[in-house]
Amino acid sequence: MDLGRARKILNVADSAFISMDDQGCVTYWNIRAEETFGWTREQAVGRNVIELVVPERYRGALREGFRRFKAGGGTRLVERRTEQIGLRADGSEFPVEVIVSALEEGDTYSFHAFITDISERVARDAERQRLLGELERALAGSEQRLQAIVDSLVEAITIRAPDDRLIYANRAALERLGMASVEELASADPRALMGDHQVWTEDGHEVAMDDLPSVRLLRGEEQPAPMLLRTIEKSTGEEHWVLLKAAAVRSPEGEIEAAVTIIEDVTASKRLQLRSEFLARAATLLASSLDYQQTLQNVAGLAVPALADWCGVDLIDEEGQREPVAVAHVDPSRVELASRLRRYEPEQTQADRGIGRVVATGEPVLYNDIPEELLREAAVDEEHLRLLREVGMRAVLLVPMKVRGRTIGTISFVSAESARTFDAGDVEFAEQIAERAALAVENARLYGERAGIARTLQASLLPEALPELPGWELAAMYRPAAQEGEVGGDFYDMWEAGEDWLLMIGDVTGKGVRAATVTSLVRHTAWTASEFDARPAHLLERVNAALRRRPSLSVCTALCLRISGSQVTVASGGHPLPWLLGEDGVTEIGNHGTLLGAFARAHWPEDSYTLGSGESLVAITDGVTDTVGAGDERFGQERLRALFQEVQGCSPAAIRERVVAALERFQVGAQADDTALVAMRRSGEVNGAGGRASAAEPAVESII
Amino acid sequence: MAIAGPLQIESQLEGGRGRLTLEGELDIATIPRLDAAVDALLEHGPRELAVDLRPLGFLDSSGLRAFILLADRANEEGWALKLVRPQKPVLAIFQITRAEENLPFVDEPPPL
Repeated sequence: MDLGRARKILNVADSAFISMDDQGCVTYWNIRAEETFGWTREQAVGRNVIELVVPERYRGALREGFRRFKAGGGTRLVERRTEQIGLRADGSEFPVEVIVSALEEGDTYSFHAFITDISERVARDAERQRLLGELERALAGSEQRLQAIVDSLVEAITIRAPDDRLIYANRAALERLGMASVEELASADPRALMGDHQVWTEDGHEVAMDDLPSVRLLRGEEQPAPMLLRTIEKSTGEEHWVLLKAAAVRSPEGEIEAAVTIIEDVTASKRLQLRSEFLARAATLLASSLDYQQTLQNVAGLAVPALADWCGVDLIDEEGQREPVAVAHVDPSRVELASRLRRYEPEQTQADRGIGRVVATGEPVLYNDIPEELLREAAVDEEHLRLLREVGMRAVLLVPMKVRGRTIGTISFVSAESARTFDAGDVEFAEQIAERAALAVENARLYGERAGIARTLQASLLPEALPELPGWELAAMYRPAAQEGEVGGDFYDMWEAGEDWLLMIGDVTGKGVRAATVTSLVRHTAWTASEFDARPAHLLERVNAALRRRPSLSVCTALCLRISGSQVTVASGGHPLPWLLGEDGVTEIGNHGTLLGAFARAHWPEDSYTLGSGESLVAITDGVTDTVGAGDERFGQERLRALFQEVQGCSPAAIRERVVAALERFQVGAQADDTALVAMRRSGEVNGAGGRASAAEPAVESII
Repeated sequence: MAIAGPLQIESQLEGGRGRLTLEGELDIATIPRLDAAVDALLEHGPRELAVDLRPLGFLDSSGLRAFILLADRANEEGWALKLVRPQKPVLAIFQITRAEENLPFVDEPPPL
């Protein structure tokens, strides 16, 4: 799968996304980058990122960072979230948060940066600092003034006494803590209050009361850093992200009297950030591999614990049979539990429940409450029920993986240990993930099917490998048409006839089993005929006769080459003539002969050529010249001639690669016809030990 | 399945002579439309059918096969087939396969 698709996804990411090469030269610039920095993609691509988005005074240090990274020294910038100053096109500066990752590409690197404008957050921080100052001043003044100020704040504020009790909370804080009054709060055990929530740091470490900034202040720590925490209220399962900042209230003697905590709910912005990061990583993963089982496993792995404690992916076939393909849990030892549970789940889904309902309706299903009755109903026996209980499901979200309106699978997100529930935003996010995963599966399947066709065809209709031909280097290529489930009509073969070698390349009109039958007839007729008389014209005459005996019109084009040392004899049965890439230029050689199987009156002229060292012959099928490009234009003879002029003298493998690359560049839409090519280069003396063909490169390559 | 490509067929019939003018691309996707147009004309029992290939832009090997079949059919059914010689590069297909010398080509369509 290609970078293009990943970029399409990245284009709608919530952060600016910039890719650059190891020189810092911009190679990709998404829409959000355009908005953030004020440069359009056209303006940005090709320019140096440092000159584009970094204020002059920081450029030196950043260049040094690039240099160090390339020298292998690493840099503090890579794979870490850092805050920097960005520069807009209009010269204004603004604070940004940057995450850079480096991808190794051969012996060089590419860099990819997510950049978020954090002006608002920085402004909010400043405002908070101001309020905090005001609060301290107010504390020194009258009680009423304090009350008035803090109650008007949207942010929750608490004051903790040296004995850890919360002695004050403003209105917002009381709501958060589920307390009716300050009196009730003051009499509550602070550890019990904390116990109503499960609390983690951003990295997933559990947080105890002693870790909170206010408590650490009271223990004498100077200015503990603000903490970003993920909290889940145990009674409701609601998830929140909060930012805690604490400040000390000191007596005139400087002794600490209380700790004020400001609690800002940053759930919305944190989720947004997590989701863009997740989607960006998922996009990269989905685009990175055609092995969809592995890809889905990677995506499931990403979803925990960002979205759920468990994540499973099932693919559903047309009969409604499910195939579990991936499951992930934060704790790998729990994955085993999932596989044990799987044994209890019927392979056949039912339209009225669970995954079956998602498949039947194409809509997500959300259970934010899993009562014991539901488990009992679902369990087939006591052991099953025990396993279900062991999972400890709190909430389950099932979303469809849809491709062109058809549901090809489901992704299950299960919340257990974290006890969080899923909201509408989670459902939407999960659907986005599922949509991308579905596309990845579809692409991988198409690829797999086409690879399957090519394998089948190569096994039956193509030689397993090109032989080693003394004095010649060989390369061949076969690309079946894009259409699914069809065996193509192009073929080639190479075999020995006495001292000589015979090469046949052809195209049977039509596709499918019928074409395969004709191909087989043509090859066997040619083999048999060559035992008596290996002249190319004789072979074509026998093949023509065999095809003419068939009850229905069976036509075929074929080119036959007889290779005798450095001499090649060519005859064509209605097939495009071979190209000679010689010292004196590029030219088609030979003369046209009659299409095989078509006419009573037929004639196959033979022509012989002697190739010098380094000269090549290339035989193709019409799929090459008939390749359709933009505006329905065909690749054609002249483009092919120009291409051959460029590769004159190159190795057969290099010629093959150049032709494939040129066709892929030219082609618009799906490949309509089979395409085959055989290239051979005269490498040296035939007689004697020196005349071995190169075996260093794979003789046959299927490029699909 | 591929969608039928762009092939325009103009069909004329006058006094026992039929004429089909083909424009666009004749390949595996559009052959059924040529066959249908031929059948429709032959229902009127013409003694001659001319197929004007001059406006044709592309022909593949299955298109070529269609004309070989048509020539065989004309022989069997006893009516005359005339193919009006196409432009290069469509003509090249008939030349590479030496079908040009085996099929009843003419340079100009016979008058209707």
